Amino acid sequence: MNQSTIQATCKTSSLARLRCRVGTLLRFSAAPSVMLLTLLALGFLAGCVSYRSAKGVSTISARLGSQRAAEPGALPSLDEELWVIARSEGIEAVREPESPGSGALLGKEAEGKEIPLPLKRTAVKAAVNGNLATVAVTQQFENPFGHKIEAVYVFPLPHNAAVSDFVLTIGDRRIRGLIRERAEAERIYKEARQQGYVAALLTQERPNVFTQSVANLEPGQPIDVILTYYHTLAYDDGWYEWVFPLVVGPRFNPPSSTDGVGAVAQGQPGASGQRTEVPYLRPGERSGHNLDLEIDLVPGVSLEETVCRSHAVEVERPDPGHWTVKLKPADTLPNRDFVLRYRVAGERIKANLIAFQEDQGGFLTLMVYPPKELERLTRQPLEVVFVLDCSGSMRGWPITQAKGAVRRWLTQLQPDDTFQLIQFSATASALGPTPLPANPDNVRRGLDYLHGLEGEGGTRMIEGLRAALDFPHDPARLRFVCFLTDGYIGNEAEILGELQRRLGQSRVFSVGIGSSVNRYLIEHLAKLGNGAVAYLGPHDSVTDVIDRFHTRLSHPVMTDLVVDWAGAKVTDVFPRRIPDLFVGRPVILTGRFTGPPPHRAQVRGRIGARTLEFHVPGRTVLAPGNRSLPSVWARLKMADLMDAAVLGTGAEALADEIKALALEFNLLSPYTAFVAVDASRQTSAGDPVTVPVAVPIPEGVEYEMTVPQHTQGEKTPEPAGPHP
Amino acid sequence: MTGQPKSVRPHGCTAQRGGQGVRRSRMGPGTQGFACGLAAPRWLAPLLLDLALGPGARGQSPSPAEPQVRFRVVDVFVDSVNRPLAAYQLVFEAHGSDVKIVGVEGGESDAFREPPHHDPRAIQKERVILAAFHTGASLALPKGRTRVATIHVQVQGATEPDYEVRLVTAATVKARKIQATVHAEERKTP
Repeated sequence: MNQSTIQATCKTSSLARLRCRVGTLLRFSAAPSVMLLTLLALGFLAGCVSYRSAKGVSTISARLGSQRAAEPGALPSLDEELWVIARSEGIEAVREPESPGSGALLGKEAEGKEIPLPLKRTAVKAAVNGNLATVAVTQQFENPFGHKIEAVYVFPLPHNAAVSDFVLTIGDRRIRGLIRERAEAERIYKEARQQGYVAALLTQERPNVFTQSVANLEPGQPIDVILTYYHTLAYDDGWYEWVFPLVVGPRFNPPSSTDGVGAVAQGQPGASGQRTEVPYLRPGERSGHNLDLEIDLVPGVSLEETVCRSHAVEVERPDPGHWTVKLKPADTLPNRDFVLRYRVAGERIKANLIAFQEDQGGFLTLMVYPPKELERLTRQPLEVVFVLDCSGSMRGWPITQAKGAVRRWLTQLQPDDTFQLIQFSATASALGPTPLPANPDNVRRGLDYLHGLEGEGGTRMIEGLRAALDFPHDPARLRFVCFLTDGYIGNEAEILGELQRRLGQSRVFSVGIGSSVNRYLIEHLAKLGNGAVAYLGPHDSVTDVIDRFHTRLSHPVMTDLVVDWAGAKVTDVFPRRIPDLFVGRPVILTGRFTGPPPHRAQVRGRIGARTLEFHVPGRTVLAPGNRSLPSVWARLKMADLMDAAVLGTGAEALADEIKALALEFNLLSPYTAFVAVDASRQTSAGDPVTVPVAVPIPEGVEYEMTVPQHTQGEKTPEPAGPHP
Repeated sequence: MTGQPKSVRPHGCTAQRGGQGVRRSRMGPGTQGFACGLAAPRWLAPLLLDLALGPGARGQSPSPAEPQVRFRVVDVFVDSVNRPLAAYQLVFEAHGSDVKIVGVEGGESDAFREPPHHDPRAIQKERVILAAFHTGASLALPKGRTRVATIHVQVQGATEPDYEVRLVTAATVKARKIQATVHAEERKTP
């Protein structure tokens, strides 16, 4: 072990001194792999993050409690290759006149019949440093019934969350769960459940949908499950955004599908016929499930503004450079995404190259900003195909917002652009068979067609997607296919596979419309389509969002990017297809290297027929204790393999590769799961009754239009009445 | 009741092995009859055990009433004698049966209450490398014999597993190495 690996981090605190000394001690006593683990554990526990620059100048910063920030943008966002045009401001929390800033949703929550459910509380504690967030989610279960149960809770997390820790807490005892192959974890859990042991299982159903199962919850017994994930925050034009999704929206599954995520009414398990089900509370019903949320924010540079329009929050600044954001007690109903946006000083973060080095090589990330030349040129003609989701879940304000976005866009087109309009619900139809020149007559025709569209029926998105991508393309124009949808479907893999097969020269621009949309689908449409994404909530300005997009498109795009790593051996760079460079939008690449890390990178690309070249100088090397970059890379590689798997070629080998990666990097995936068993005590004999945790319908979504209703005869009996 | 051990097995003892300052403790049917520090050949153990107690005493099988798949709890102790224990690293392995580690719990002292971190790559081979440290005042740190972790396992098959625990290092809050010992003990569950 190189002595320099830890010396730089040890300066002042006793914690750092111990870490340093134990590390020194271990250098003489342990095998490299063991030492690595210790450094990992010590680095994590000590909360120290240090950077060693290429010039050898060291700085120290701490995280969690005594955290100090990494440079914003120092680590890549998992969706860094994605261009985010606009982020929804969400549903504005209603203010109480006598208490400015507090939510008025408590009144709504207090109304209606309370359904006894075993999930009492979700507590979220996030520590954000620069653009890296570590989030601990505590799900507190308590059995309200008279006999033991198994609680099953389907819940969302950000689709780029790398879930890497899982702890079962019973009283003051804490049992850390282990990552296992999914089938094995499920076998262990099932056996423990049958034998009466308290056990917990965490599985991933979709990249943003997870299932938590807790077996043998005894009456009145509280059990906490704490899962920890980290993710990186997206950055755009000076703004960072942190999102915590709180409810899975009701999804439409094609009739033949059984592997989707089904929506059912509370008390009717199995009614959807899907492998994963989300039970929804009926209008007038409520659960006792409450939310606590706190964010510790250390942006690393001056924070100029925070905006949270989705919930009522309190913002404090306990120390210079440190902010806390807390959810107000009156706004704890978990029925819409929590969205915090904050603006930092400076118009843009710097292009940079960051590396993490181990014995045999390491990992790196490169952030590239477009050259200034782009801002001085005008754009090429566009060919825009709009695809509107007109299904039942879009009924009401979502379809109004979608139509407004298309209307605004149509009126912004230039005469040498062309356009087409496609709508889909149970079927798809179009304004015409070919793209139309954007002259005043055709734009008027388009507006009339738009006016007649309404939200009803199923969500056969695949029909709309095929119709849009199969449209004849004029190579003289830059083609955009624009999807406007809430993404409430259960066959994402089919949609994304079809997109990859038919994409051709199209770029996909997806607009997520709603308060709790399927972000995984919306963002993957844009990511795989080499395009951009935007979100439109009920209170967002359509004009602002579309105009911002047009501002960006008023300059040419730099395409066919190639990176020269200055002689270093760099492999497995993600995203594999380097996105185009638009004005105002960074591209971030993450890869691994063998041998020494590169000292600089040379970037080459084309603007029309012209070739342009520029370089990103300098290099920052992360300290050995900071293993976030390897995990970020592993999560990106897993996502890349998943994208390849949806095409259906070599799926088995890809699954094995994803599984091996997840096990090596301790990450939850579709093929791995966390399991924890308390083997110290058996509960009373007998199988527990399974109780699915019902959730509220996302705000703004109509229950009757999205949750299938079944007859009383199909209703599955619920467990005996509440525990007195 | 299913899942409970039908017999209480004496815990293993500590023995110096390897000659490089590594302290190990083995616990299991293959070694439980030996006194600390004896370097008896491994092949001799089952023979002596058979002679003393009969063949049935070795490789304890679950009783007919006990399920083939069962859960066990193994406590891991570090004895730092009279020095306050601030950090440790150890390796825990199971042999001789199909054993899956299903949970890692923290220790009895407040200093080590949090479950220790482990190496995910090692655990896929049912070998757990645990490491923890605490930087509080010396008074809060445990001295002497203390349970630093509890390993929850699932056992499958006719024979009882053989557990091995090896101390890599132990240290004071000032990062001075402690001449500590470690051993593992299967917990008697009610």
